[in-house]
Amino acid sequence: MIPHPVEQQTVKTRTNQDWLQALREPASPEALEELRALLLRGLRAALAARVNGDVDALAEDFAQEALLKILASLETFRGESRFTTWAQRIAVHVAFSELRRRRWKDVPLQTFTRRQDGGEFTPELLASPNSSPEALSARADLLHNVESLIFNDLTEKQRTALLSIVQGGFPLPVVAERMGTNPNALYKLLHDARQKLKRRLEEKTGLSTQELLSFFEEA
Amino acid sequence: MTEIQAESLTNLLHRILTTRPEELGCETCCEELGLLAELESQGEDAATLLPLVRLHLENCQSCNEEYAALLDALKEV
Repeated sequence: MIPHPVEQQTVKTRTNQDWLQALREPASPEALEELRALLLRGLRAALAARVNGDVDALAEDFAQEALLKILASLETFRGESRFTTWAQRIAVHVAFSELRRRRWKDVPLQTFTRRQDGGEFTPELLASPNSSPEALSARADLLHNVESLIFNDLTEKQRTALLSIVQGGFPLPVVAERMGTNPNALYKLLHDARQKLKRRLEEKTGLSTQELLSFFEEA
Repeated sequence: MTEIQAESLTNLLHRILTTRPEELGCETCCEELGLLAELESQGEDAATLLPLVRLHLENCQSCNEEYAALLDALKEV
C-alpha cells in the first residue's frame, strides 16, 4: 500500500473551530485534502480486517462519499468529541451502511414457524454439561414459553423483525429498509416487542425478571 | 418457512430479560459513538457515564460492528 503524498505530510493540529472554519464555504482546499487523507487512513484500517477484496479502492470511494456527507452536516456537529473523531464516525457509518446493503441485497427476509417436532428442545444445546436435570428442564420450559409468546402475543411485523435479526443474522438497518422504515423506528418496534415479551413472561411464569434471570444463569 | 432454533431463542430470552424501560435508538447511539470512543481510550468508565449507549451496543449488532470499526479507524489517525 503506497501512501498518498498528502498522507505522508505531518497533519496540522487544528482545533474543532479551526476545522469548522476551514471547511465552511468556501472550503479550504488544504483542509479538504487533509480531512480526505485522514478519513482514508481510518477507513483502510477499519475495512482491512473485515472486508475481502480491494480495500484501497473501497476506502477511496467511501472517503469521497463521507467527505460530501460531512460537509453537508457541519452545522450538526455539537462539539462533544474531537471534530476528526466525529468525521471518522460518519465515514465508518457511510462505509458499513453500503457494505451491509451489498452483502444482503439478494437475501430475502424469512417467515418463521413453530417447531414441528412436538416442541422438544435439546437440553445439551441450552446449557453447560454440569447443569442439573431440573435446571435443564426448567430452562426448556422457559424456551417453550418464549416461543409460544412470540407466536401468540407479537404482531407479524414484530415477529419477522425480531427473528430475522436474532436467528437470520440480518443487520437491523437492512431489515428496516426491507420493511419500509428506518433503523430508529425499527429499534423502537423491537424494544416494544421485548418489553411485551418480558411482561408476559413474568405473568405466565409468576416469577420476577430477576428470578428468571438468575434461574437462566444457573442452567 | 424457517423453524425457530433453540440457540436463537436462548439468545432472545436473554435480551428479553435484560430489556430496560428506556433504551436509545440507533441514530442517537450512533451520534454518541465518537464520545464513547474518546472516553474509553482515556480509560474512563464509559459504561457508567454512557450506560444507555453501552446497552444499545449490546442489543444492536450493526451499531456494535460500527463502533469496533471506529476504534480501529481512530487508532490510525
